[in-house]
Amino acid sequence: MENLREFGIVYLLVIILSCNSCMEDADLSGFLHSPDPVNERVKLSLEWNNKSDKDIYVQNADYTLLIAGDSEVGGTRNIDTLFAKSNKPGVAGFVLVGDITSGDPKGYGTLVHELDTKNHGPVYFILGNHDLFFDGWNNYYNYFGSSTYAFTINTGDNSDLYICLDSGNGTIGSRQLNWLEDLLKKERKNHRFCIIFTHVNFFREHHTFSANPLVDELHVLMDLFLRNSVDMVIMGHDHRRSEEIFGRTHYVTLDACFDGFEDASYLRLEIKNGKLISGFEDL
Amino acid sequence: MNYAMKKLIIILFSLSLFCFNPSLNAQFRLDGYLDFGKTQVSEGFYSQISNIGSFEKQKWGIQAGYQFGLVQPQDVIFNSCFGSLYRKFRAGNVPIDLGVEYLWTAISPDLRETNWIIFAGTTLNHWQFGLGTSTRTYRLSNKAANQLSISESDKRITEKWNMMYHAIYVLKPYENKWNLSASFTNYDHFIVQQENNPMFNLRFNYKISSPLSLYSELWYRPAGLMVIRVTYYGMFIRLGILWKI
Repeated sequence: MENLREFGIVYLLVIILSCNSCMEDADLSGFLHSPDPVNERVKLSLEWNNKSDKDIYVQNADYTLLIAGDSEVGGTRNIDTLFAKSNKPGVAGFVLVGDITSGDPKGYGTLVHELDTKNHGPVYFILGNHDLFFDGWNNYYNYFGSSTYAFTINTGDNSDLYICLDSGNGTIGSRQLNWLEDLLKKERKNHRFCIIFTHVNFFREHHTFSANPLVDELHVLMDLFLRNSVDMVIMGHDHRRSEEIFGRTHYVTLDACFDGFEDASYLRLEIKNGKLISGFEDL
Repeated sequence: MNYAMKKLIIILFSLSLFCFNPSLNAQFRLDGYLDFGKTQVSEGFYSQISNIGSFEKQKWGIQAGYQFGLVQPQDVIFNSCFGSLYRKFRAGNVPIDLGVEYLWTAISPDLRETNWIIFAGTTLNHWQFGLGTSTRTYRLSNKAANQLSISESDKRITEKWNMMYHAIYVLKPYENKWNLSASFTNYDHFIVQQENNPMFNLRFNYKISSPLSLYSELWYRPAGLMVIRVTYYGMFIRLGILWKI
């Protein structure tokens, strides 16, 4: 019994220490209760979608999209670098797949200031769990609007579908799942490539205490993506890159890109000669 | 039905026959239960029915079970099955079961999940503890892989090891006519969640007679605990009957 008790204590300590990276700025009330549950956020997001158009039209058949995760602003050096890169010719846009801030109002303020004062191409934000800390949803919604939306990039001859999901609570929730199923059913056939962005990574490439969507939710999503020929699913959260191809779908988890992160990188997604090509580039 | 599936069903059937053999003079348990509940991804209420047979001699035991879906969104009927083998021994005064298990699940007509599990558990006066590890593989069915011309390397994803745990507090002595227990775990008979997705369960047990018990369980499943944004994910009720032969 004594050994079991000791093991339990050590295990709890390991769990707490494993959260070390997020503890400094974490809102620990989220262990007990989370305001603004995902289904409520999705409701507001879908209302927002009715009054906004996020589509991009590019002049060439080939284009590039930059994708990064876990910027956790505060620091602005890496995010400014990515903003500058997104403003280059041939780059259609820049996507940040969640944990864009640490959730506190100061981080949101800093990010909005950088957006207002630096040159950048079209920027798309996805919501992550950190963005919800300290009632962060209010700030996210006020500044950026929807956390569940789709946009297309149209080249004239082709159109590619990009879907942004809100997994800030570790689940996409029933309302968002219905929306996603409906969207894929109606729209997938009209587009060449279909790429999904979501914050919480699906697979345990390495042993980690960092959370994943529940197994039965993964079952539903993997089946949905297989049936609808989703080409890529791009995720963050784990701060450690990994790539898996499962069936027809390429699953990519990104490195973090916050300032000071040793392996900070971003993903360069190129649509070139009708093919999807992706590769990591260091920051 | 592919060859591996047929083989598994034959093994489970053989285990069942073996368990029923009265000449073995050992304890046999049959557990049947019905689950009904709702999750964020179940598209309304779901219902599943499960049967588990256990055979136990003095120092070892085997267990096998299967689950059928009655009402559920996934387009399969035979959801899942498992077989396990365990050895019973004592570490000082503490009784320990140490075993291995194979769990097979049909995610959909085209997708499968398999788990290899090693587990250890102990039963004390009012507490039960278990600890284990599982390795999960998601894979395409052979039929789907052939139809879609998926290469061998892209047919499966195998995850790194996952910790399994349970802790159960039992209110009354086990021989009591009724009992209440509460548990905290990341697995159930036919699903192993990642270690960062725990589930909570309250159980009421009532012995109708010496071999026969009825029980009811209430399971609560949160999401997002380890992203520090915990939220409701699902809940289900289990109604079961346990027969000790």
